[in-house]
Amino acid sequence: MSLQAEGTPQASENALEAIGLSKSFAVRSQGILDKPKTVSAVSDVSFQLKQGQTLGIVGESGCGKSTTARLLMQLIKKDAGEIRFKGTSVQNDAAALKAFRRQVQMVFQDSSASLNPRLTIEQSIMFGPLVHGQTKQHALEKAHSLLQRVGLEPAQFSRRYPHEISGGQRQRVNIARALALDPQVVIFDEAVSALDKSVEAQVLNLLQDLKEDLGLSYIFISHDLNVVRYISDEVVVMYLGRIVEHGSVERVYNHPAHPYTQALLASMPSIDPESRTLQSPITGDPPSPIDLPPGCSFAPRCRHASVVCERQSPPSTRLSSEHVVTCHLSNPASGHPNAQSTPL
Amino acid sequence: MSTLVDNSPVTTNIPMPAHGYWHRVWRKLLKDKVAISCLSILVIMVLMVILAPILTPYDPSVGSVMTRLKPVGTEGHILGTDELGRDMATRLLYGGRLSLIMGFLPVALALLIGGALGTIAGFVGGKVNTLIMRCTDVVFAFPSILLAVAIAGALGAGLANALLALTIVLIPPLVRVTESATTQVRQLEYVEAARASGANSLTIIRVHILGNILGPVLVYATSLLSVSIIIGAGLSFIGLGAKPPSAEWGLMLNTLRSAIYSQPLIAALPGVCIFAVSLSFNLLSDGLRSAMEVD
Amino acid sequence: MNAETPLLSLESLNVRFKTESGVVPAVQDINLTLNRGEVLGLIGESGSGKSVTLRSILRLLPERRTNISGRILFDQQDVLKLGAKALSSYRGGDVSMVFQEPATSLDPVFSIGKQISEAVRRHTSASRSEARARALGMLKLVKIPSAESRLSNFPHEMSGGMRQRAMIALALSCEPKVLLADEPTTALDATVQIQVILLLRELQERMGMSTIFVTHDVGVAAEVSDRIAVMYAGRIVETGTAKQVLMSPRHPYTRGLLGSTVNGAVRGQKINAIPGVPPDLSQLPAGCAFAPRCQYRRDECTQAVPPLTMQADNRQIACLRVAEISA
Repeated sequence: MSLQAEGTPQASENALEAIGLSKSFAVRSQGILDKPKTVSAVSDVSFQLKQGQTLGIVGESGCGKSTTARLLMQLIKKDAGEIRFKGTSVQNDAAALKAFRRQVQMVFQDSSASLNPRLTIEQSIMFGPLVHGQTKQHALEKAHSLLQRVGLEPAQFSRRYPHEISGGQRQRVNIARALALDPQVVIFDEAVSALDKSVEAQVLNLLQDLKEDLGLSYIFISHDLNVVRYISDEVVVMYLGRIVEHGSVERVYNHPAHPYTQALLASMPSIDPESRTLQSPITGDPPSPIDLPPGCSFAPRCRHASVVCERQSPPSTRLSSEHVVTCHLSNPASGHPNAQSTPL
Repeated sequence: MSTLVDNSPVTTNIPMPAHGYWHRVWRKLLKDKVAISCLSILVIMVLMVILAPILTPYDPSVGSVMTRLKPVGTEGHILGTDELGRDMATRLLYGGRLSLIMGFLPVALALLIGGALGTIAGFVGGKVNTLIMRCTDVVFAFPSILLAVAIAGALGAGLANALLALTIVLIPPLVRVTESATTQVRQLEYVEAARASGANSLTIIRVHILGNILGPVLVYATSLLSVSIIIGAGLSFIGLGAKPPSAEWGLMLNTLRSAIYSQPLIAALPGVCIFAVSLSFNLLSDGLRSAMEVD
Repeated sequence: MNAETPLLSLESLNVRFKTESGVVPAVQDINLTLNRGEVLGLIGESGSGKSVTLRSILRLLPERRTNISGRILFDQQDVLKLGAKALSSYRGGDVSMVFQEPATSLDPVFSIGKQISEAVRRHTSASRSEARARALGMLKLVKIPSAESRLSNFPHEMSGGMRQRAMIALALSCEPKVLLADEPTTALDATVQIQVILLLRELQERMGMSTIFVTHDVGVAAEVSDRIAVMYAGRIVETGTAKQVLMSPRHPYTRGLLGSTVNGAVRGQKINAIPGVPPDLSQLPAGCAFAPRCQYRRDECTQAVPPLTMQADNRQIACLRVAEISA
């Protein structure tokens, strides 16, 4: 369920929109005679990225956030659903895809494999523009100006190789590479997770600057709740391939309505050594998304679970104009004994 | 506007422009004494066989019955003469041409064909991969020497047929190595980023895949050179490769068999050459592999 | 034995690595003590030397390429001078370690039960069935559900959190006096991380172990540590109780680090990031390694490395201008 009704004047203000995205993978079965199992990586995911805003996506391993990013980037084919860029549905043909690529780009998690080790930094950045037909001279100038923009002196860095620069510098290069095609939307997939905290701070500052200067819209995917709170305007919480709660950062972080969001927020370590966490808010590990049981996928670990949770998938309930949750507890019509319409 | 400029002391000390990968591999290889000696031996050998007409006044196919099987060190014939009176040194030099061609050419052709097939199989995946790899497995199932003999035998004796047989035998292992390397590289993040930039498959293969698989494939191909020379000499030995009176090391080993009791040293000379070359290729291949562990 | 004597004591520890481009000082002049029953948090970023320090305590660094000087005293014995047999009984028996990535630290070809039993039999004279019973007991202790059936599980059959618990069980199986933990929760999800932190805390209190806990996450350090030491570029720059270091840091690096965390940042405003990058250990500047990035630097800071000096409130700071920088 989307935060806004369709057809309103605001709908065209959405830079990027996902409607009902779904993707499943077949998993090789253990034995020859067993049926192949399916992993429902992403199930009916819908959200909107408003122009000039940052949408955060949080969740733990197996929640499907990275798959969602790749579905948005069209790096993997969706099973169902629609992607809209600026109100227009994105088609599947090659020309539309190539045009889409110029508008939506992605920054990956920094790793030693995020840049081709055989290419210099400037060659890596120039690749995108050259593919789209720009002249070599133009692409070179663009690469140098982007390096300058992300805080790397071109005279020092443009001819270097990836292994000669540090993790934080590599990530700046990744950002420059993503910006080389002048996109309007940038998706960050755990882009700062592998960085030292002091470098992370620098890169986050840089991202803020770039967003303002270039009028970008961001989707920021991370498992780090603090980073998402700082950088996002709206946030989506995912669990086992579904969205369990979304809304403005202020609402979701301060008044979480879904038990999983509450547990997730309570799991953040306290930074005050005098008031330590005394009890774990949740037990067990995030389960595997193979062969999900019917009903709410969080029910096995939820302390508020009741009969209706194991039988029926919860519907989405709008709690306010900026807050939607998918839980029987928040739906007075659900039949849950503790259901109430205001968040707990 | 961000004024964040990275002015850490780290970067100012590395000289610019930085060196590319192959440059660094070369520098590391230069420090490996064994590898460089082998490389020098091979280079010298190649030069010598190319310059054979300048280095020796004799004709490799002309011999005199009077000068049969003269021992090593005879005046006018440094390495002696063979059973038909031809100068051994000359025969070895001219023979080296054919033997080295039997080493290089099949490997080069198999690298082109097998490399292309392996890259396609690795990059495309799915059914295409299964098709190519299973066909490769079928050919690979035959022991290479027997397969070479069978093909050369079916096609008939002669250098060209031997080269064809060798090429066919060498394609499957190169397909395998290339496919494996491509599959590994294809999953890396920078390839994903290239796809996200809108590049088509051919561009991605050209820019991102080839450069990164060349290392392990080259190492493997270098080790195949010695295999190719040995099998090629073997084919000539049993009469399926070079035909007399041409000089070729394997063929020479056959024709000098009868001299093994009277002039064992001379009978062994072609074998020594084969051994030296194939050992050099093997050691060079090892050295190349260690040199490639640069970053 | 005097209860005041520290259980583990590092004195003037220096570790240098021999690389192709010369000798790199990974860790310099480390003086650390660990008292009985205490948890020491070691905070630092990449290149700070915290993992190297930890590994040197168990002598896990490659012998040929490493040059170690100084003393590591465990129960008054110098670990660096232990012979092979004594070292073997020391590792796992007296001092044990939990690593960051359980997927690569546990042997994939043996079941969990086998690995724990083997460790027990190595350090004690237990029989096979006794060792197996002990393995089962350890798995229950770390709260692995259905422990009985898990004994025959292989590492790849378990989830990340379960594997980490198994590794903790393995490390504690021989009741070591000191537990070394190298970023044990960094690779875990948030909800699993808090469970493992609480588990470690509970086990540490119950078994009275001394622990050195290495992390780059300030929040995690706050949850487990009694005392904290902060490392930068191979040296210790600040020590003190957890409350002192985290609530009122005095070294410019610690202040910068704590001030640049996202926790305290306000949306829409820039974070007070520390400018520059950590130095390359093979090209350390003369004097204080943090000086190039420090807002308080003076000329004297670049002339000599500031020593770690004891302050009035029983903490140590390595900064020449600490008196002027108010808490």
